[in-house]
Amino acid sequence: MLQETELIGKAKNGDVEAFQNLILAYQEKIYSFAFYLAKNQQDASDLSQETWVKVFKQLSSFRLDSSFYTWVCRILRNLFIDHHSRIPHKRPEVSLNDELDSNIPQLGILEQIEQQHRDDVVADAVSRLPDEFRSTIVLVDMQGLSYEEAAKITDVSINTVRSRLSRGRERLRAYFEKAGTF
Amino acid sequence: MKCEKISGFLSDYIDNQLSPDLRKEVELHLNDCSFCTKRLGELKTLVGFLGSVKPKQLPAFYQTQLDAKLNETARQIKERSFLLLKFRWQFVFGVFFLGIFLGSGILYISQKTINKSSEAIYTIKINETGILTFNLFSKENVKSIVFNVKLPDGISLASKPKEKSFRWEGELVKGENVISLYVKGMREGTWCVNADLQSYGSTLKEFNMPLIVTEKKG
Repeated sequence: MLQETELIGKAKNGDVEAFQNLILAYQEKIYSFAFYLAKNQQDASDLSQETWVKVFKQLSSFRLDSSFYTWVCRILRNLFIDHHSRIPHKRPEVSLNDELDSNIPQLGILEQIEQQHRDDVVADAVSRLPDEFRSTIVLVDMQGLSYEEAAKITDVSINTVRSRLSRGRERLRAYFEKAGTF
Repeated sequence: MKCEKISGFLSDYIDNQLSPDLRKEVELHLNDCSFCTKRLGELKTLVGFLGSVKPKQLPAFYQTQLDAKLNETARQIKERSFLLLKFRWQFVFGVFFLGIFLGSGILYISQKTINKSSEAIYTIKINETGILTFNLFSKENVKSIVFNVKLPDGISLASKPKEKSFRWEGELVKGENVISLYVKGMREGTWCVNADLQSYGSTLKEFNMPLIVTEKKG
């Protein structure tokens, strides 16, 4: 596969195959980010597909001043804020906090749980976090982005990313502690 | 430093985001506090779990839907740039005269409605490859779809120039579906590509797509 910048250059010149290769490289991660923001499959599909359409339209304005993935994530998040966050969630948001102790699955030791089950349980807990913590946890802890990249995408300072990450992790830790996971 | 304060630094400690002095202070506390050490272990385990969660799998038909949306966007962009290129002088004059009208304080708004052609007319040159795009909007997922295309004398399939027909079997997803076909201009003239969409033997929709093949110049 060609280098990313080469693909971007070709895609800017109307090379459809190059653009498809860019999509292929990131579509699962982009869909995942959309899923954690939108919290359901249908909205995540719509949101991530709208994102790719917008990326396609605006690719000529991309100046390589951030990574391509960061730029796409930023578009996705802005679309979510502009449109999707106004749509009522199909599943009510429950904030993870100390008062929430019902419906916590009693898991026992996580090491003994199948990977898929564990993924589902962790993902479910993440999806219950408030928006600002959720985005930061997904970008930094689940997708391995740096604080700087997460700050660019979520349009906040690095200190805010640090604070949100700390508070989001603490809420999740407390949640799993109550579930007897640790 | 008290446990409450230390717990606020543990996340930064894991990510190596503390200053050397603060890091040292946290480590000194951890050496003597089993409560905070346990909490640190839990946070590390949590971060490990989060990092190991696999990306969500794309739903069925995701790729088809995305391709359809991108094809439609590409078509719209192409049409817009074509119109802009074709009518650029008219556009310049239009802007000029509009300026005069506005400058004189006279603005006439035409109420004339534009009749949009329901089918675009494609033009390709002899031996040139073009893409025929059929947009199919479905209100629900439909299984067992057969899409038949019959090509006239002047056009053939780009991949198999001798073949004059194309048959595709598959499924339609809810929403927009796009079937694209690469064709080649063979003989000059105005032709019509006929296609139909069938399900379990009954015809759901018929298409008649005009296509002009022009002589290759230069």
